[in-house]
Amino acid sequence: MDARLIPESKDSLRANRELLTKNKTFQRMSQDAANGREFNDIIVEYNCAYSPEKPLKVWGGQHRSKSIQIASEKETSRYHGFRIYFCLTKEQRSALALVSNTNINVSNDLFDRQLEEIMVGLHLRKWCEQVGLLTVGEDFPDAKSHAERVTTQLARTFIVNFFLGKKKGAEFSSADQLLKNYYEPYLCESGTGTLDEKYYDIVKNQDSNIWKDKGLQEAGEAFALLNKAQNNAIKKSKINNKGFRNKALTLSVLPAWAFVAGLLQSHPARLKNHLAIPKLAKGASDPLNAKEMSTYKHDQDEKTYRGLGNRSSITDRQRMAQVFLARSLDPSACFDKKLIDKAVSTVIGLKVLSKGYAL
Amino acid sequence: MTRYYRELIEDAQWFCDQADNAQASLNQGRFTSASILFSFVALESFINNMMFDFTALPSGLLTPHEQGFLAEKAVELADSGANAGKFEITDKRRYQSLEYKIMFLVARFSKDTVDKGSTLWQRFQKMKNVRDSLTHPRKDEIKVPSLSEAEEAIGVTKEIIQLVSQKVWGKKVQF
Repeated sequence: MDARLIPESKDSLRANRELLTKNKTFQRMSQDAANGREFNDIIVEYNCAYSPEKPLKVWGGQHRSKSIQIASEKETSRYHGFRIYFCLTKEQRSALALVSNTNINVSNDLFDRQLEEIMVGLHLRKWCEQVGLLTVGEDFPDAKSHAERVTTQLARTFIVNFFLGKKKGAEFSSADQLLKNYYEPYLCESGTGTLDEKYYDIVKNQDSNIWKDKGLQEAGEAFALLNKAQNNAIKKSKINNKGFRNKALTLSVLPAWAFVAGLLQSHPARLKNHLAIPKLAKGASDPLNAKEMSTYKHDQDEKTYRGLGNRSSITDRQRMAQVFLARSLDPSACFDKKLIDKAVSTVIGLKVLSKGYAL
Repeated sequence: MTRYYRELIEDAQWFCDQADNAQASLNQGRFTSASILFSFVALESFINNMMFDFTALPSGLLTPHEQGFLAEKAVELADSGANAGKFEITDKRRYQSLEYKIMFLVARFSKDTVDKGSTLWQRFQKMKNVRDSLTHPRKDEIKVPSLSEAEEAIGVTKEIIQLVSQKVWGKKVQF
């Protein structure tokens, strides 16, 4: 696989891009190869000028070749399709290398979108249209970075968290118990080539009424309004940056918000507070107070921590859930430093107590 | 903007470096004193913030005495109203010593207690005495701290922060 552009030169090094063995697609590919999948159109050059013990030099399909190699070590044997080039000139080899290494980077969002349509159908997209997270006729973006709207992963995450929260909330008979726990909003997997397990559990029954669930519908509509309000507020503010505009759509804010919406289904007064767009904190220009969140840091956090609600880590999701839960206590509460401080401290305190170390 | 233990330790280190550059001049004592004070302010900040985390817990998870200790407020027996006969937290300030706070946090929220016979605790006590001599000066005990004492104060406060962090949170912090 260490194909060279100038075979006769020892100074000519491996020309192909690095193998991405930790990439989920590669891991899936390896698994498929081990299960006896046939691969085709692997582009190789027959050349014995170097490493004559391996005359086929791989130019296109090195990940597939590596998967086959790993599978053959596990005694999986089958035919694969190769396109073999002979007697290439330097120019021809160079063109072949260039073409084979031109990688159109397919985003996880595109994978997710295609998989959703094939495996589940159009339910998720239609639901997003109904609640206002997508406009009619609009699809999930194929690359999140180019579009400021909900992705397939985020929409799935919303659905899953709403039902996870609802299930958890039903376990508590009193509102008091809600406060004595910390929560772990879930983030659906993306780009794995398979449907996220938790999401699949919810949608696998095609006769399921989840898409007509009134609570989910109401939560989706409220969230779409919050996202819109956040977006509009930041557009009008002095700091009109993308991160602040899309604060509601981050991988920790959205799961936490949806989880709390589910959790509070059996606590209508608090649910009402949660679903309402929060009033602005003093000095803030947007309902989620993105600037305050972006500067937030706890003593536990690493130096490189970029503020609350920016990362997809479980810690950030837990904290955001507590922030939303704290805000739901009082209809006039807003996302100010005091509320954020107290909510994060509560999660940290509860986590320490849950270790069971306490005497 | 809130200043955290990390920045305060950096301040202590900055003053220590200045003291090193000032060598034996009069300024060296000024810098070493400032460095020691900042080291302990960093430690106090870390401990107080950790105490704050537990004061944020919902009621019923800690006793009124524990809550009072964490909030540094007095706890008294209520003699009237709905809570008559029960202990409740008042608005009266009850400041706790740094040692007590450290001992309480470790004993209440970890599997362990502070080993007061350890070398680290002895070093901490020694440096705290130096800090106390700066904050509560007496003319018969005035002593300008040395550069090595300033360095030791930074080292020992960092080690105490790590000790408490590991015991209570189960993880190390980054400086």
